[in-house]
Amino acid sequence: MLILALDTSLDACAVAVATGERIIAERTEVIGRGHAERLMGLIAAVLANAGVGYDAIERIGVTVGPGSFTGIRVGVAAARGLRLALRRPLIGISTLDAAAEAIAATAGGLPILAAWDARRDEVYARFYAADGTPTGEAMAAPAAQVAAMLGGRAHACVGSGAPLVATFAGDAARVVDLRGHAPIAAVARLTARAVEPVALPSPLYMRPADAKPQAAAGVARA
Amino acid sequence: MLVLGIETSCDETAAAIVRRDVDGSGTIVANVVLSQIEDHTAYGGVVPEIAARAHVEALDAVIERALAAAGVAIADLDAVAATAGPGLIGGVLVGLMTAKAIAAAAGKPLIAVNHLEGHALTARLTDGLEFPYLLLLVSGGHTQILAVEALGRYRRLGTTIDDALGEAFDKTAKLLGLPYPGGPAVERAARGGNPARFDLPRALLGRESLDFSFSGLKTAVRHAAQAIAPVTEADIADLCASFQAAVCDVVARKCGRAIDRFRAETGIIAPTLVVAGGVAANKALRAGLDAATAAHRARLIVPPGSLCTDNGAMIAWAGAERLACGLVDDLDAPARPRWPLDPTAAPRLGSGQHGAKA
Repeated sequence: MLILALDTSLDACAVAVATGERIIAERTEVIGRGHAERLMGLIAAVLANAGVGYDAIERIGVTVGPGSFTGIRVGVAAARGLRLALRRPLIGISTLDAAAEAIAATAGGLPILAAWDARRDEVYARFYAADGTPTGEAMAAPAAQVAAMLGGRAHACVGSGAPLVATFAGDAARVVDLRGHAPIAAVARLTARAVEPVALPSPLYMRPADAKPQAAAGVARA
Repeated sequence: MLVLGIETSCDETAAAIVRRDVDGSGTIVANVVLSQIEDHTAYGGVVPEIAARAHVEALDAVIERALAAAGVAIADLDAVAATAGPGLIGGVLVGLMTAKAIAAAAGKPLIAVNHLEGHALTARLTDGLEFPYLLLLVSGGHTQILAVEALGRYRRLGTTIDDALGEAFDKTAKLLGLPYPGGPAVERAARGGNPARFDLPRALLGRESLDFSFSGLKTAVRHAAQAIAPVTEADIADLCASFQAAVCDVVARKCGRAIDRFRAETGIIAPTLVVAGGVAANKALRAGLDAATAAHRARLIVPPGSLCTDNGAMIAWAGAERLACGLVDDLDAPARPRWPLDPTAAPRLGSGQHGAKA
């Protein structure tokens, strides 16, 4: 099964083409911003490297967050557009799940914490067993609170939020990888393994839109 | 040629299929608009992040509905057009990325359309209008008078220097406790009111300028309301009627002047004035423009309401007109929160590192 995997949720713009779990071509550009301008060119380049066209793609995977709200939407909107044109299944992949999957083979049997820096001293985080299987739900929480959840037990920690958690957790947090995005090969592997979903993938924002309901009218009414 | 048009720059998620024939005439084959008004009502205005979230959830289904209603497959399209600005960047990005992906995967050209150009060219789709003509664009985000000279050639004759007209309606409604969106609410309340009760300012009328200013009017409405608070239903009706009379007066008189100037510049004896934007739905404004165009010997075209407010058909049509001239865009086309139609006009609204707003 030929897979196209996309990630624009965090600091990278990344694309991979894979056959099942084997990567044929991939490119990751850590650009911070400008994903909307870069993504289509990157897809074209990776497809060309893989020697295939859009019509050969049998399944699409895209990261749905958590991450930058705008970045998430760039990827999800593009992937949903590709699905419309190609009529192929589309799988949404959590950036945290991909980060945990990426280190599962080398975590040395430790349980895993994946965490992205969510600013305001908070992290987007999720806990996993040593093989990368989730053991809880994804959360947006203060780094100190996530650190307390380690319970003093050693964890392999991955992601840009790992150092922040480690400042509160001390030795229990073994920071193994502090990259700021989900490795695209892991996104492709999770896409290959996923059960075909009934619903289309939606962004995983983890935080509500920053807006307050309107105050009362400006002038007193009789 | 068949063009898919996508519009997501504010609070409407829209897609349409438009056909352009070799003689330059156009037909709307399908036109789907999903309004988000209910998502924003509690906030008294469009919240950009809420709008962007709604667009990404809804857009692909809206496109599928348009394709199904048209009986058209993506393979049948000649191009994919999308609004690339100006507008709320989060929403624009959703529409533009969806368009890029469809265009790339289906091997179709992408056309990154200026939203204002969509409004500017609508009367060529609905009425087969020839260039040049005058355009009054009055919406929640824009208030401009433009000379539409040719495809891609738009000369700004006047613009608001502060609030857009639709924004002035919204703010007046908010002040008086009327629901969002303010345009229809103020128009409804004004129906039984006395437009002469409050003497509200008509800004920038004393000069030859075709620019508008509505920010002082908004303040004057607030002062008038506070002076008689607490306000009764009858007071609100009178305030709305007086407000509406003031804006209609200003807009009609500026349009009359614009017609005279356009006639002098082009030598066209009976110019055409086209109205676009959500405020074009206002009946009092329409009456004022009817009178002004009659007095200044011009023809008035007001496209159907569904094509005055934001829609995908105008984007598809602008895309078709551009495609017919060989104007297509690369897949790295940026989304542009600010994108003036007339790049040579001096900025009147918005400046600094982001440049003129529109």
